[in-house]
Amino acid sequence: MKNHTQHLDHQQIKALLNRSTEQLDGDILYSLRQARTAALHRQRVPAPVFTLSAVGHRASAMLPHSTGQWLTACLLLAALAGSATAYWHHQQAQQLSHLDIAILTDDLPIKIFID
Amino acid sequence: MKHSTIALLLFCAVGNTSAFASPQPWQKLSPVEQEALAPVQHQWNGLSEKQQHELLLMTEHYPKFTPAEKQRFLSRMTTWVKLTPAQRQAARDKYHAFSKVPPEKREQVKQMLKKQKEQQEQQEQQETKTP
Repeated sequence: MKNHTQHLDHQQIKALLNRSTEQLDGDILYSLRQARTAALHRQRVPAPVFTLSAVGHRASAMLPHSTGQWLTACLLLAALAGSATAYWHHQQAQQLSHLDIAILTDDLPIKIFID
Repeated sequence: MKHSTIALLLFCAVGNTSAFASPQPWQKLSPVEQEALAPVQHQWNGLSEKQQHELLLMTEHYPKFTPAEKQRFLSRMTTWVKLTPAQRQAARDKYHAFSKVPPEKREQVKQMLKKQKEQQEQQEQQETKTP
């Protein structure tokens, strides 16, 4: 019973609003549309967008600011570069060593590999 | 704390750049290294740091060699050391290329070389018999 009353009320309100809207003049309708658009615009959820400015902001926050920080960063980079070079040399030497051992121990005579 | 970090980083940066250790005198080599490098004992101190380093790297594997491999390794060492770096690299390239040959073909080459060697030995024997 209560639901029926609510349904009727809802229908009545709708009909009343429709009728009232038909009676409104153009200026008021235009203002209402403007207000609706503005309200919808305010409700729009901002989607996360990748921007260069955001990256730049984060990068600048990560960059060293004082001379000491710059010096430490440079030394860290130099240490990393040195370690990478040493590792690369070691790997190269190991590969050569395995090849040399194979030549020196293979059952094929060494002279066929030498000019 | 900060200074010690910087010192450590500097040590790493400078220490890592030396790819080869300083030249090692023969007397300071381990018994295994001396055994593996015995054929080049007299040339050892005159070898470049790079070559010494290359040879020492090989000796790390010497204890794992079979007796036949040890024998071949020792007999070829003198020839290997006498080669120029370019000749050694050319030999590596050839060996690498040959390792890609199918096993059957490799076996054919081995048999062919074996026959050649036998013929050569026979010829030498005949030459020594007929003065």
